[in-house]
Parts: sequence; C-alpha cells; structure tokens
Amino acid sequence: MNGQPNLANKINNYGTIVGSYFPSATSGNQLGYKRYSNGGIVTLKGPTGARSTVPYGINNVGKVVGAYVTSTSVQKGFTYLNGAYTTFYHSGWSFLQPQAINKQGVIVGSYLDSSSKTHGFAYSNGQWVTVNVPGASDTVILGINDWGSMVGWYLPKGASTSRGFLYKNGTFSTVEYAANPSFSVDGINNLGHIYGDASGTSFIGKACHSI
Amino acid sequence: MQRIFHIALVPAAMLAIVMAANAQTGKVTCTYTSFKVLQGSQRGAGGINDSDWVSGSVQTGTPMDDGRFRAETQGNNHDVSSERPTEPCKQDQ
Repeated sequence: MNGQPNLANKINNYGTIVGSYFPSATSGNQLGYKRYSNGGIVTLKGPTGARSTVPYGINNVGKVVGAYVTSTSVQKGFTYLNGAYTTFYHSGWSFLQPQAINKQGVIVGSYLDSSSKTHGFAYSNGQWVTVNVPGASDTVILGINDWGSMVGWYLPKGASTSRGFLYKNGTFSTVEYAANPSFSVDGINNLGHIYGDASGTSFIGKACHSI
Repeated sequence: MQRIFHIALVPAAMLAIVMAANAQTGKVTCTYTSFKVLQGSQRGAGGINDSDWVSGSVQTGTPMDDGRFRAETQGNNHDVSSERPTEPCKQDQ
C-alpha cells in the first residue's frame, strides 16, 4: 500500500482482511486498514487520541479488534464496528495485544507482565482470563474460532525456540509438523483447520489428532 | 503458574477457557498442505477463514513487508495491495 511496508493479519469468511501500514517512509506510527474482497479499502485511524493503530483480527460480522498506542505511549485494545470504536485495557498489564475475536465476541491475545513475561489472555464483556500453556515461560494466543479453540505459540521454560500450540476441548497440545514441533500456529477456522509456520514452511493443517 | 481472574463472573463463552487451568500439554499432528511464500512468512501474522483462504505477510525486502493472501484452491500467493480474489465474496459490514 502506497509503497510503504504493510502487514496483513486476519481474514474472515467474506474475504475481508485487516492489517496495518506505514503512511510514509519517515513515520514510525502505523495506520490500520480493512480491505474488502472487492478491493475497497477503509483506513482505520484508531480511537480518539491514537498515535498508532494496528488491527489484528476480524470476525464474521465484520467486527475488528486490535491494538493502538495512546498519545502517552500506552498500548491498549480496541474494537471497531460500523464506524465506532470501543476501547479496553487492563491496569498492571502492558503491551496489550488483542489478536483475534470470535462470533461470541471473545477476544484473545497477549500482554506483558511486570517481569517481562508474556501471557495469553481472553477477554469478554469486561472479564479477563489469563491463559498460559502448562510449562511455558511465555504464551501468545493468536487465534480463536467460534467453538472456543485457540492457537498460538509458547516458549517452554529454558527453551529458546517457540512451539505452536492448539487448545481444544480443555487440552493444550503442541502442534507437530514433519515430526517436529512447529514454530507457531497463527490461525484456526471453524472447521478446526489451522494455519501456521514450521522451519521454512507455512502449512494448513486439517483433521488434527493427538499423537 | 496459571492465574485466573473473576472466575465466578466469567461469561459462558469463556468457561471452556477457564477450565484449561490444570490442563497438560500433549501433541497433535494433522493432514498437512504446505506452501512457501516468497521469502518466508512473518510468524504470528495471519489467519485462515472457513474456505481455507490464508492471509499473512511476507518479507519482500529490507525492511519491506507485504500483505498477502493465499487462496487454497489456487495455490498462489497474492499481494493484498494489487490483487483481488478471483472468486466473488460477499461483503460484510
């Protein structure tokens, strides 16, 4: 977009994609966009006072979720629907990064605690839940489907390489690709199909089962 | 250490997530379709919809990133900024 770096994040069932871009070569701040399947693009400047805005997720009613940076450099979450923004924030957490939203409005993402450890979170109707993969030093949730299954990556304690995970029916599992742990699982759809990354390869996984 | 807040007030949609408190980590594998983008995808950026269309970003230069989507049925990568899906999609809000 306009010759500057741009990032595409989630896509919904209508083919609408959200992402962000740098409006100029000298700008360190980002603007969000919502790109419809017909090629039309709407710029998302973020809530009032936003200095930088990055939409990360979109559900099938077109509700967008993302992060914005305030004029005082605090990173908060926002949703956007029909031209209106709402904001959310948890005191004591920093770098709040909402990544995805499902049909029920459950928002998932990550935040940084006071010890610089990253945790996953789920947020709905003003209620927050911290979600950590068992045995992980850091957890990042990147996707959630309408059934409540979640994906993302985690860093096992003492390890330097991340592993992709799937949370389904109350169980966390490391997602293996070619008999090795994947690096990250970035998204999951309502059929349970996952999209992620392994060494030098991106993948779509179907019919996932325990091993 | 799992930390849970406001357990008694958690909405029904989040109950399953709360129940993960004492879960263990197993392993899963899947039937995979693999693909490579131009110079490696950007970890953590992207998604997949119910038609298996994938969106994400690749690094096309330094430090240029480019938004992409990939239609599973076509097997090609498309630049978000210059290409349109070849299949019509309904427009959401």
